[in-house]
Amino acid sequence: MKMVNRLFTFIHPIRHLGEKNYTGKYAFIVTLGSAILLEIINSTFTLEQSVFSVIAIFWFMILIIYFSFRFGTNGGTMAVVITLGYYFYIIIIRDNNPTQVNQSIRSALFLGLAYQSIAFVIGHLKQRIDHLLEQETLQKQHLQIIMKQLPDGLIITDNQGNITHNNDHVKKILHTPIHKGLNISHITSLLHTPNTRRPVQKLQSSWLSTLRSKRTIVNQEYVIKSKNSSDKHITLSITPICNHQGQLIASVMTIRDTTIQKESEQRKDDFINMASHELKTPITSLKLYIKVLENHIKSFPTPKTKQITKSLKDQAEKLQDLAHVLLDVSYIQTGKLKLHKTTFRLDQLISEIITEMQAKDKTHHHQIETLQPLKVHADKLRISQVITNILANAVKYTNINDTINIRLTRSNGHALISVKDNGIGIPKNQHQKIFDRLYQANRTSQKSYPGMGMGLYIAKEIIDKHGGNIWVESKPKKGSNFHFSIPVE
Amino acid sequence: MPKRIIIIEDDRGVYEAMSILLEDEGYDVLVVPNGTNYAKHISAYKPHLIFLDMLLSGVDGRDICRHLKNDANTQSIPVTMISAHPSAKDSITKCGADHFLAKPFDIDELLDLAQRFTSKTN
Repeated sequence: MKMVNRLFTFIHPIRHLGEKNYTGKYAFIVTLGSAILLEIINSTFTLEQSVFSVIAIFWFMILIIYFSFRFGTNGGTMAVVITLGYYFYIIIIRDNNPTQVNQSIRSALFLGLAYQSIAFVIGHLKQRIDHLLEQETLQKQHLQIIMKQLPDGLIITDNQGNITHNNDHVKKILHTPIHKGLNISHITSLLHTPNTRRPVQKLQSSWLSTLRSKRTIVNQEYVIKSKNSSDKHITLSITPICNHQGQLIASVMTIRDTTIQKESEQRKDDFINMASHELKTPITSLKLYIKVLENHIKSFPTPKTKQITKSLKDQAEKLQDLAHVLLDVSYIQTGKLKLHKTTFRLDQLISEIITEMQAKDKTHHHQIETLQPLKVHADKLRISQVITNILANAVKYTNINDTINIRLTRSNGHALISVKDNGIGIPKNQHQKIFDRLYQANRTSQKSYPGMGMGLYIAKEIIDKHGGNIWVESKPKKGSNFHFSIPVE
Repeated sequence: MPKRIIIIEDDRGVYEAMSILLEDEGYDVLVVPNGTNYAKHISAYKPHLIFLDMLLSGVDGRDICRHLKNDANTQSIPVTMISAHPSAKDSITKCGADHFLAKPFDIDELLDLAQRFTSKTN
């Protein structure tokens, strides 16, 4: 039975599509064998001329078509050559009349031409199919090699979320067997939120709705809990793939193991946190000593001693601000920035801050355009920090004696604070970046501006936590107009 | 008679400057640089106010505060706890401290506190 199956598989031409085996030897053996067999049958049973002709023409035509499709143009051509040889043999052996011989040879040649055309067309068709199939196989292999060697876990699903392809990294990252046909919900059920470490409940539905709306999920952070080792941090991205008609046909999910990166970030955050706390004690001591010094030199005041104690105080103040900035950044990074909300009059707070700033620094004019009385429920200290930061920036980036305009209005249930200056301004491509950590606008400008590039980053985090918005309108050399809004009570 | 203040603090830079400043303001100041034998000093010195650091080497300032507030002889002495961790405020309130100062505190606030608390106690 096995032999029959093997023979059937060997004979079946469709089974061999894609194989580039273009030999003529089987065509030679089988066609020659057929001719000999036909000769034996004819000599044994003395077939009628017409029956013999029909068999000779159609049987050999079938062989030529078969070998063309099984072994390409080589197989077909070999069958044509043997067939024509056999035809000439018959003509020479059986026809005695020279006129008939000539006529038969012409017919045979004509038939041979037709056979060769068939062999050529079918043979080339077969070879073309082989080539295309080979290309497809190669492409698949390339894709598999690429998928295998990608540093990230890769999953491809159909439009229902069933896995069609995945690489081995997925199993390593997720610590679970993944195979084709498995639904993506199996993976989403393993994910936990980074902060609370609770399972992500709604990801499955949100994932599908995201895909259907053809939106992309980029670098979403999750945690995978492990029984044997420490938790694994991953980032997950999902891209919907649509056809030319815009219909969802697949999705690509990439999973990156960010555990090492997270651990190093954690160490960095821990260090910043520790360093900013450790700075507080010497700063306290420094401030106390300055006060002691101030008291002791009160008895012999000179302009110089006054100036020195003022400078000492200012520098200690700067050091203290620096420690606060570091601590705030550390709180933000570790998700520990907490708000202590109270209800207060925002217009009064702004007035107090401006009065305090004007007392300290008389180089700029603070002009209040509008100050609508508004009550807000917010963290007073933090909001005060944001206002002070924006006002300080306005002072920093404008010339001495310039005016800074301040507005507080109500807009769509929000308190809207605007601080406008006519300073150096910010190019449009930096309007978003200035709220990023460590980003400082106008770094390339000739004049240097002190600062760590943390103020607006902290301000944005504070405003975001209040459910508000912060943004800027600005053009280089035309000044900046900073706005932020927080919900009114 | 000048009012007496005890500073229980292990950082030399802080306690030295604090004691000079408070002495300049007219207080009598005793520094206890480690928290181990504070009870003996307090009973002998009878302070009107105690400044107590939260994180002393080897001792938790909150435990000292709890002991002071549970002892009938010392419970009436106002205790101001000092810490570099503002988040510790809740736990400090729970241990019975009368006030909390977050490092780096405002010097005027310190002097104001000293004046306010010492004027209450005899």
